[in-house]
Amino acid sequence: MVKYILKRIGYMALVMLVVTTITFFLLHAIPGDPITAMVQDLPEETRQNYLAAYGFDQPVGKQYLLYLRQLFTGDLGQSLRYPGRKVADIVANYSPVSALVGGIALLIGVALGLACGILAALNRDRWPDRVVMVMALLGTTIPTFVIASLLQYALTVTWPVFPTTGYKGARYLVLPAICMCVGPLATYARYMRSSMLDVVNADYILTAEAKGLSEGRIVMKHMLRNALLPCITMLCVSVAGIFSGSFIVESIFALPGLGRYFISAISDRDYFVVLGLNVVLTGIYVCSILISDILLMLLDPRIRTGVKT
Amino acid sequence: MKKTIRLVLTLTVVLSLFAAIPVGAGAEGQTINALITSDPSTLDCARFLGIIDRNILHSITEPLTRIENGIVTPAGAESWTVSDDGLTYTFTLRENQWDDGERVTARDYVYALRREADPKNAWSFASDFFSIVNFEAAFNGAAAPSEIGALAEDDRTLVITLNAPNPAFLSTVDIFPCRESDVEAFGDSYGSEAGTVSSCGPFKMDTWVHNSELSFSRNAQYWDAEHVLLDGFTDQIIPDESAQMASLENGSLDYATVSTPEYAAKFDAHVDLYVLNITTDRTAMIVFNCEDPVLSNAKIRQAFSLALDRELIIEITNGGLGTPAYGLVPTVCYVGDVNFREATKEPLLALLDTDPAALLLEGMEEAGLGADPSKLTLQFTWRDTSATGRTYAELYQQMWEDALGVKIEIDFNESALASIREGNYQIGSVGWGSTYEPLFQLSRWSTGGQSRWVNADYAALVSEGSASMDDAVRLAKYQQAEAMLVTEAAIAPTYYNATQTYAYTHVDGIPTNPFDTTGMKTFFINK
Repeated sequence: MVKYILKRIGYMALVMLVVTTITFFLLHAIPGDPITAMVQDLPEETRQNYLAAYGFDQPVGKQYLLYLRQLFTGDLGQSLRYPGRKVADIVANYSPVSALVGGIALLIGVALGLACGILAALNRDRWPDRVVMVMALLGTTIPTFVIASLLQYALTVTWPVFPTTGYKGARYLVLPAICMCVGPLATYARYMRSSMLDVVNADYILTAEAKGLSEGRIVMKHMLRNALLPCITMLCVSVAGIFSGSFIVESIFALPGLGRYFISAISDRDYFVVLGLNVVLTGIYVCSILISDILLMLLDPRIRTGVKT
Repeated sequence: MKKTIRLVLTLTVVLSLFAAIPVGAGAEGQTINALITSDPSTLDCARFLGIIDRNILHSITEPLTRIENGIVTPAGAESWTVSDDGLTYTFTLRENQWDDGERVTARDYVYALRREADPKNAWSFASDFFSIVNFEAAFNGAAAPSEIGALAEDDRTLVITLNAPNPAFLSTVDIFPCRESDVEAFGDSYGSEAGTVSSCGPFKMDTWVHNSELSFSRNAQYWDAEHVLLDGFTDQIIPDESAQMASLENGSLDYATVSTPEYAAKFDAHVDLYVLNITTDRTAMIVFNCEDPVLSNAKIRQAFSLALDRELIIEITNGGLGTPAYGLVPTVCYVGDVNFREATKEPLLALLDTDPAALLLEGMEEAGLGADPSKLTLQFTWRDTSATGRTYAELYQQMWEDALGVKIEIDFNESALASIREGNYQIGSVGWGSTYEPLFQLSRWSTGGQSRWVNADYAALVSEGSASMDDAVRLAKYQQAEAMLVTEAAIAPTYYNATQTYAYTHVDGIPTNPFDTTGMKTFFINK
């Protein structure tokens, strides 16, 4: 078991190195450079000076090695678009905001989504199923910016109940959290429904019924437990996702989260921010996959026996 | 039933908790909520990157001089003299304090200039200061920053020397002060957070929540504090247009620039709002790559310039805001006291009767390209890849194809500006801002600029003009230069941009001159 985990951690380090390398070269392959992306009205000599000051006049291969060396000393570098801000500080200060809003949204979304999914599966092809499926379809297809803009207009202009933008207390989180829970709600409802339906026809449910167990007991103990297993994999990935935030929701509600940094850094050619955030988020992501695998191993004996301990 | 009632009651209580504080309750006291569209890069005066940052610096620090209603006025300096040769500026500073009570001295201004010249800081706007002795050399590493022509003779006397007379000097540069002790205390993070910048201007910064909001309050130590009427203001950072407009509509913002005609129409009908039409300092234009075998011919370029229906471009691509441009220099520019545009007929107006199609044929013959325009295919590089952006590019395409019979391919390219800068394009679309004097707009084409148009006569006119302290000579040279640039069609100006600002009737003192550098100092609430 320990050996298995160690091996997995080794692979994770490799994945992160590969992802960083690919990102580095893709980023440098995009035409343009940070200074041109940020300031258009610039004489050539000022531009050259800028590129030289940050080492961007060096060959890409050399820049890559320098970046890796810097990375191994634990330094994620500094923003180019925002001089004086360290990438590590950006992560430390703004991913909690994203995680808070995303976490609340995920919690509500997953709880409601699972409940809706179970409800739909147990009432297959009857009206609760149809209602849930139509809602889930709408939830996955309507773009977030439409939901966010409509909700913002309705609840801050037409009925001014909530503040329009900003981050100054719990009231500011309500609308963003609602917008962001729509996605997980719809996804988990659909996922849980199909997962439940898979289980309903399984042999062990037939056995349980034959043993004469009550329906409640069958649903709670046999169906749910097995149907939830696939959801755990997805949940770990969703949790990893909340740290990266949502560009759209954060832009519309002016939340100081990580999502905006990440996306705008790409168009700003803010190399170190893109790379640094990518390293951190890849790290969180591969960790979450490891955790989900360990959890599954603990919960599902069939997987456990497959791994030599 | 009981359960339902309980649920409804609980929901009501929860919702009313959220609703307890009404939003958009209007301005309480002298505070204003303003809009900025992106997070400031930094408030370090030697490293900032954009206009938003610069505007905030105007509110929190005191430059030597400010431009107010288009006129250079004393600010950090109470007076100054210029030597007869136009090279030496001697400033007498005012009694002004930093927000902790320490005097602002001439050394603070000198220190700031030296930091700006330091190549380590790679400051984007350094070239504005190249007329100061040794500034350019220092910036390129050929001299030490301490060798630049800025000297503190004593606490209150600052001497700046220039390489050559530059009548536009004070209307082009912001000379901000910066305390050495602050930079030493905060190091690399100087200017990146609220606590790391000292203030000596009308306001001081209280909070800065990145990508969300900045808040400012009146600086009691400021020399002119009695004329600062606002108690404070916030800058709300909202990049999304629908969120901006919602904030303006419900009063979360006190004023905002509105660029979409549909929103403008809606706010026109709003009784509490008034509109300010502001002519900006920007000229939108088409650039031609003059190193291209086809576009190196002046007549072909002229044909492309004259084929444009500028009124239609404004109507469709800019929501009807702006004025058609038949010259380069926008209406807000002055030479000395003379408005350039009022004194100068736009050069292209004289050519409007020329038939562009015939001109194209002449040009093609000269260039040995045959007599069939339909065999001519040119590429139009366009930056905006959004759906509306694409239709705008197609408008240009259609105008050229209809009027000239040529074929235009549009190259949608988010890195269009880089391609244009590298000369890797045929026809492109750009916009250039200007400064108070037309020199900034004119000088960039002296070495070819984005058009790679080489013309020694033009370069001579611009440099002769800029060196003359005689307003009349300068004006004449600039007029000739503009006419040459535009009639030879190194560029095809399309329109002088304008914007609309909608403000609640209680907001007063919004500057309408695009060159003003008064920050939020002039704003007040008018009850």
